[in-house]
Amino acid sequence: MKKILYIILVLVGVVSCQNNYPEPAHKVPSYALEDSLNAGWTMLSIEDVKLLNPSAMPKQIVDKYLVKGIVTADDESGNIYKSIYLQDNTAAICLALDQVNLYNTMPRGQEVIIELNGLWVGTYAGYHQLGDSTTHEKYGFQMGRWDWNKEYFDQHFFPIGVPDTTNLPQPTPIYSKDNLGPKDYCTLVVLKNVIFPDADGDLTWSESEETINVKVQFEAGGSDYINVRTSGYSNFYADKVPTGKCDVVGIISYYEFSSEPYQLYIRDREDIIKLD
Amino acid sequence: MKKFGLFFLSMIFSFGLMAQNVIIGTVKLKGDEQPLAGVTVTLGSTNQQVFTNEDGSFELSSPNIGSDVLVFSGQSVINYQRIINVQSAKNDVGVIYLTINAQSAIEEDMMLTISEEELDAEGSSQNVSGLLSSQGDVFTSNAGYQFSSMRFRMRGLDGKYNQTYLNGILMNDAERGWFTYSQIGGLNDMVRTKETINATEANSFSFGNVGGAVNINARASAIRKGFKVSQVASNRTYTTRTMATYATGLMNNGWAFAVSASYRWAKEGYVAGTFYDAWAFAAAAEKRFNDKHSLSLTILGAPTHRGQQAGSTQEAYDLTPKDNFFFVRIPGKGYGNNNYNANWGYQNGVMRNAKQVKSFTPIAILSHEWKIDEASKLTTSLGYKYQMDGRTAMNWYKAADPRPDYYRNLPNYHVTMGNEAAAEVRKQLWMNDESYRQINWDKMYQTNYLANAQGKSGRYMIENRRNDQQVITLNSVLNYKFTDAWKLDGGLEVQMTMANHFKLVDDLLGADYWLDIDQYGERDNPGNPDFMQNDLNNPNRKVYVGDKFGYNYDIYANNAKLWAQATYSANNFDVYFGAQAQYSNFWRDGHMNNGRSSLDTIAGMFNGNVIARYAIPNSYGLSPMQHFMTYAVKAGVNYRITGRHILALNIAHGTNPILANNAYFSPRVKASVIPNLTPENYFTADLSYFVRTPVVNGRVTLYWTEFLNASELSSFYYDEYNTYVNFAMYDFNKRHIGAEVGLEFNVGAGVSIDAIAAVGQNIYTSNPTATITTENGLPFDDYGVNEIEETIYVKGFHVDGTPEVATSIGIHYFHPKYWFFDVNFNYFTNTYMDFNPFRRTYNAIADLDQLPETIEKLGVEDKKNVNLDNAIVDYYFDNNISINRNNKDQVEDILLMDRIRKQERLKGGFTVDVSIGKSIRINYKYYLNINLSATNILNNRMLKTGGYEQSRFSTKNEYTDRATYLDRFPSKYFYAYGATIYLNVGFRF
Repeated sequence: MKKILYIILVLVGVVSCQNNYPEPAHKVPSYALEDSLNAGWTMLSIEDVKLLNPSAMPKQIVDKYLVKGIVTADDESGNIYKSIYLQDNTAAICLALDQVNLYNTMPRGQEVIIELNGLWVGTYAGYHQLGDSTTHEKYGFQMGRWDWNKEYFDQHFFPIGVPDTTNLPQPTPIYSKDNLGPKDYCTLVVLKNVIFPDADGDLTWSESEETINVKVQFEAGGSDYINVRTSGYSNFYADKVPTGKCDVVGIISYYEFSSEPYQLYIRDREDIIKLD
Repeated sequence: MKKFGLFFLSMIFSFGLMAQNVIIGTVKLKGDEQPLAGVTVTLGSTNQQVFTNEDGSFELSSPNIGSDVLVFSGQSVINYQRIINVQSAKNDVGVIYLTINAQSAIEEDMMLTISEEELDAEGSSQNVSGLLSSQGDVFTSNAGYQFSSMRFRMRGLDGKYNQTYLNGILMNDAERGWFTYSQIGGLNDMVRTKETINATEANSFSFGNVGGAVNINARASAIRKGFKVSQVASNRTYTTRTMATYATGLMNNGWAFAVSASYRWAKEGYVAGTFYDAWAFAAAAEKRFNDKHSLSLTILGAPTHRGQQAGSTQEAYDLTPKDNFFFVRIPGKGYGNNNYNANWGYQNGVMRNAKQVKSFTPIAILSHEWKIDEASKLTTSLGYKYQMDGRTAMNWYKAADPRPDYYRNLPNYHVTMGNEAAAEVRKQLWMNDESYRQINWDKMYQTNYLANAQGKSGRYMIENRRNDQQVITLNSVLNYKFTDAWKLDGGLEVQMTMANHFKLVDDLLGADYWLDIDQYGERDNPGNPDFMQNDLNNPNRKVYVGDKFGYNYDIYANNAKLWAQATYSANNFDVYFGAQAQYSNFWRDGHMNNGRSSLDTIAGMFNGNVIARYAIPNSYGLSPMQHFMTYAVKAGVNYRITGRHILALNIAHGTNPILANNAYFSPRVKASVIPNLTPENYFTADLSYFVRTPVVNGRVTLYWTEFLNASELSSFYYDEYNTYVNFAMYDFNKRHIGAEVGLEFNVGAGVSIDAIAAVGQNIYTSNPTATITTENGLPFDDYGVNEIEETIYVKGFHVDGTPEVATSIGIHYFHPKYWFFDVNFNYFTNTYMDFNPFRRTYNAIADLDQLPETIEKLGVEDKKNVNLDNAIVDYYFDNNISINRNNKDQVEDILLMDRIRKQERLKGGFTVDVSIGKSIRINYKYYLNINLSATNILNNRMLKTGGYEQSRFSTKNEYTDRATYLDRFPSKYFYAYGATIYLNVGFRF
């Protein structure tokens, strides 16, 4: 009986009919940099962009400026939310974008050129952001996230080429807290030979739907520490914090309103490298 | 059972024989002399019905002498009445000539296509007014067509209460209960002959059901002899249809053959993005061996491929530019398009719909008839059905929601966030950029290419959710006339169904592969990699086009019915009584070991009583069997006051087994069943008055149907717990009461007027208990367990999706030169929205204004039968709580209470339909029929046919309050078509 039915199926071909929708070509994203430069655009380094506005009062960029960098951290694991970290050989900056699953457009290793004309730059809690300005009910005029659809995202942000994680900058080794400074904000670092003083074999990075700090120290017994800050929406929050020595890769951030302002965001569980 | 049998036998012998007068005649087509088979002939005084034979002849018998009336209907003829004078013994009325009503062919066709569209509405059950139209009954023959555009359901009953038989084989789906009309779409000529039973009337082909039954006769001899070809042009679901049928009729050598084929197509239908591509074929052969025995084989199937429409929020409709569709889409002026469809987008300039139906259900029925004597027969049928039904949908993994009407893409969300600028941007985009408000296929491909470059799993794909079934049915029905007065009908029906449920990768959208894991499971339980697996036997499997993934399980469902009905006919009344016993069972066989199923024990039950418990890894392998033994009894009487005025009363009571679809609340993941599997109980009664005079013909009916211990299942994504949540509602009662009126007035000079009305009320008469479970097995925050029980306070709510008031007045004119004119004025109202059960728990309104935390503190003792809204009023009154109009918070809270709880009533509206037709006879042999039909000529595009509340709602979210949930997730609606036309040209010889 089944054979006859398969014959009918072949004749009719409806249920198993394959779609004949022509697949769009793979558009490797590109940007006509030469044309822009010829048309009067100027390429800035990320450090230059930061210098455009060192304060927390948002400033809109009105000149035809460009900036180029490589994405060092995306939101794939869920630990980073509505942000992308962009770095070049001068500095790094946080792109504050009001969209989730950004890693589908700008994943780690993706080179991006940004036309800054119209975007806002300024500091937020101490570190630099590129995004929009917003007026908060309580805190007033401050840096906020760029609306994904505002004047079309793709009129400002231009990923170029295929993402290549081998092109990523090497994480800056940090051996002690004294090594850290504003030059490191938003950059990719590796904390060398650190321990987690509160780790007891049961401690996890975070709790479900919470965001929790875990202390990390460069030497046991000292009073200096920074915080590894992890979101309960990440896919590794339930992993156990290692009790021994580790190298920890991540993005350094700064939150000036906290008693310990330095924070590290781990990108995924591979960023924890156990040494023993 | 034994007592009933003895009583029955004693009845036979206590009544004597009655003298019967025979009435015979022949029915032929006017002008053609061609005999008409399958025409229904009804004798007014006794309501007895017979069908004309292949040679057009018929025979009736009547215990009465004197004036009587013969009514001829069915087979698309214009209803005709002939007054006769019955004398003793034999009466030959000679040849009766009838004319064909070309309009009815169109109506049937349109009803079938409307039925198809219904399954596009989320979770809806099918409306069945279509096929149940009995040509002889003014109400059903008109209601079927006139009310179909508003998704009218006869008496508000769910499709599972109507039985559809084809050549004696029950076509209703064993899992869901209803019949999918699209399985016989495009085969109008094959399904024209049918016997229709209203509600629980006496039935000769099955015991029947609360909503009635129809038996379609698609045997070769029932198809009208000749060759017929027709072409349709329309702007509804398809734009062109070509159909051809050839039937030999019963030939002298005892053989009859019939074949029919059709092709329906549209690049795009009335709703944008809904393409249509469907074939249909049927072949029937029949052999009359001698006077006694005949054997027939009918094979048919309708492979269908079409794009579906989606319901959207009113905001999405209001911002979409207007358009009109008359075979091509013409942009209109301004905004406000109630037929906006979110399911499609352009891909490389080609329109592509993400939600397509790909289905094919070939059916083969072998039927044997043994004519025991003139009035008795035994019909045995064996049927095989192989259903392949696939519905495609987008699936995405850790990626942005691709649906264009995702709530964040519309301005409203941003308004609730206080971000006017973002709202304005989206408003302009939606209004002016078609690619913004439709699916962006290119973006999905590019995102997948990017994932390929990183060696990762695809982010977007199209899956095909298959519901396949193999069904074998054996049905044997005996119709036996004992004496002139006594008739016995009875039968044995056995049906076995094996249903396969799985999904296939339909299109990877440029991705290299797809990873078979549950993205919600991954997010919800990150420390446990097993939790996200759909199949622990094949963890993290990469799947490709054509692979089964996600879920894969079978449901086996079997049932056997034994029924009998005795009818006694006397001078001026008929009385019948019948009974049925049914055994049914079902079980699940899981082929994937799901990581989210818990290791509970599953109970096997008999009529809801536990008889066994199994501790098996409950999603993999065979689950325990659930059994049911149910019964039904019915009785009725037809009393003739005079031959022209008849009263009829029908009553029935019975129990119905729970259907497999309602019992397994999360079958894709596990084999658990709802806690209450006791069969549902029903009581039903209807009282009708029939009138048959040359001037007025029709009936008025009052009905009342009560369901006790009913059950219903709904599943949807729930915000607070980031998972699918299942609401299994059970232990509640429903009542359907109302009136039906169908009257036809013969004004004279070819003019007739018909007036039909259905006015009813279908309500929940008690509060369901709901077992609420999370599909991912995670516990609810506040309860600590993953299964909770809540009472849903919906006493007084209405059954959704059908207008409770539907009326129509039609004026028909038949010109002797074979011109037909029809005008219909229709009015509908009181359709109710499908409600979100969680908004009707007490929890949903607890703590608003002065309301206490729990319902017990409100002073309610009987949770099952309380009307919560009244209880709240009583609480305020008893506790002397005053409402201060100047207290803004209080006023807001009270308005919010009402807004959360109220069930929305949809106002209907008014439509006008017009049609004109002409029949032309060429050379006495060829017939040309031209018919142009225009529905809703006033282009009323404001008619909501139904809709549903969105499920996202929470009382415990710290960032979003209840009012914001209602603002952010408004209801979604479906609208009826505006003005549409249907032009049918048919050629017959």
